Amino acid sequence: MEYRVKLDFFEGPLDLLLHLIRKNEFDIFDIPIARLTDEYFQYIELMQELDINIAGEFLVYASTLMYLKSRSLLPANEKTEEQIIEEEEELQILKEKLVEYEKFKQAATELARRQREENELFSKEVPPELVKEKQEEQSIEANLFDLLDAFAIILKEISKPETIDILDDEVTVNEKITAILDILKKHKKISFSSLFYKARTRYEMVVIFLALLELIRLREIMVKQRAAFGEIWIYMNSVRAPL
Amino acid sequence: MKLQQLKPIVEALLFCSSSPLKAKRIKEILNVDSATIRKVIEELNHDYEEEGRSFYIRTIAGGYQFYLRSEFSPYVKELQKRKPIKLSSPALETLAMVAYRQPITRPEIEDIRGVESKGVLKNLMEKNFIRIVGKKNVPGRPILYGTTAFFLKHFGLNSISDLPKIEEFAAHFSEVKEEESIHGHPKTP
Repeated sequence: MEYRVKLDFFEGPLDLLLHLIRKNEFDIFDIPIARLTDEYFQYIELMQELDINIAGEFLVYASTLMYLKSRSLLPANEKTEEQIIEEEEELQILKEKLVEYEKFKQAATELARRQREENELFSKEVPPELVKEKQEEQSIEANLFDLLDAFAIILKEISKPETIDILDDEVTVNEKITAILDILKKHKKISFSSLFYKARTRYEMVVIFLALLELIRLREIMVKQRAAFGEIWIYMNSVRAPL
Repeated sequence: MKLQQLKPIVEALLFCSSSPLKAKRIKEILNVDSATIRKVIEELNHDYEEEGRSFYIRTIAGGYQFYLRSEFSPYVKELQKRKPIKLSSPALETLAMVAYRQPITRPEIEDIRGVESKGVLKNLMEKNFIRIVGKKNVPGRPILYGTTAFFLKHFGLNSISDLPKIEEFAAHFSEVKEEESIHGHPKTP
């Protein structure tokens, strides 16, 4: 049965717990915690044996389960009231998490069903080029998250030397700020990636990026994106908020 | 303007739209009320059915769009050879969380899933299913995510309220015993 557990990077300990509850037909509201813990650890050991890189989250739940199991094995008369309450609370939290997650797993099944149905239907579409143009109009303001992603891609795509020896002068953030503003005075907008084409080194690219961030902070420029993860465009901020 | 005059005009607007056209836009252009638009769409659909046309106007993602009747899908499938977008189970689960709990932050999603969700959220953003809707007013100002119009269209919804209530799923919990997979064949209602 073990091979049925998909150890996809994104599948986590709650998936495993629900899988075990289903497989063993445990009642979610009355889980035999010792058995569940034993089964959980069997999978963890198997994953380790197979040299699968176990996500830290699996170990967090492993320790919770271990705690609950050890408590459940203690005779009731040896526990203080405080311990019993604490144990029940911990168990309650785990159950609630499982029930909550299960709801969304079912909702996902519903989405999958709808997706299958919709994939069989055709709506009136236009050629992709036209769609692209339209999306540009509905641009959204890009945030730091978008910029960092875009920058990471550029660093990866355009490989430049770390530094070059014959650099007679170090580039500074201030110089780059002036340079960006000069370009924007001439052109209405510039694309994010075009800023980096002429950079000679990786260091210079970083300086340009920092200059861009500074200009955004100062509200001198606006950065907009057509759609999530599309090209980012830089505009002069015409409606500059007073400082 | 009379209904008979409006019909071909609304048809023209929809003919030239590649995504669901909002009633608001039609109202702005034609200066008519919502009830009239609904009546026009209804009449157009009635005409298409009478004439045995291959298409109809569907109310989807908060707008109107021409759709092919499903019996003609096989032919167009042959013509377009399109690749349908299919999301993985973790992606669909995460999307379900965003859809039902929006606006929602990444830590909130990770709390429900019990697993890191950065990659899956990025993927959903790239595919235009979710978007950033703001920042939560708590320390760290985490990003809030919500679903897009594309999400609605992809899953055949007119609005988010068309989704079944999340509580309906909870009720099934104790009955669902056998292993059910997203890639399996769940019952259709």
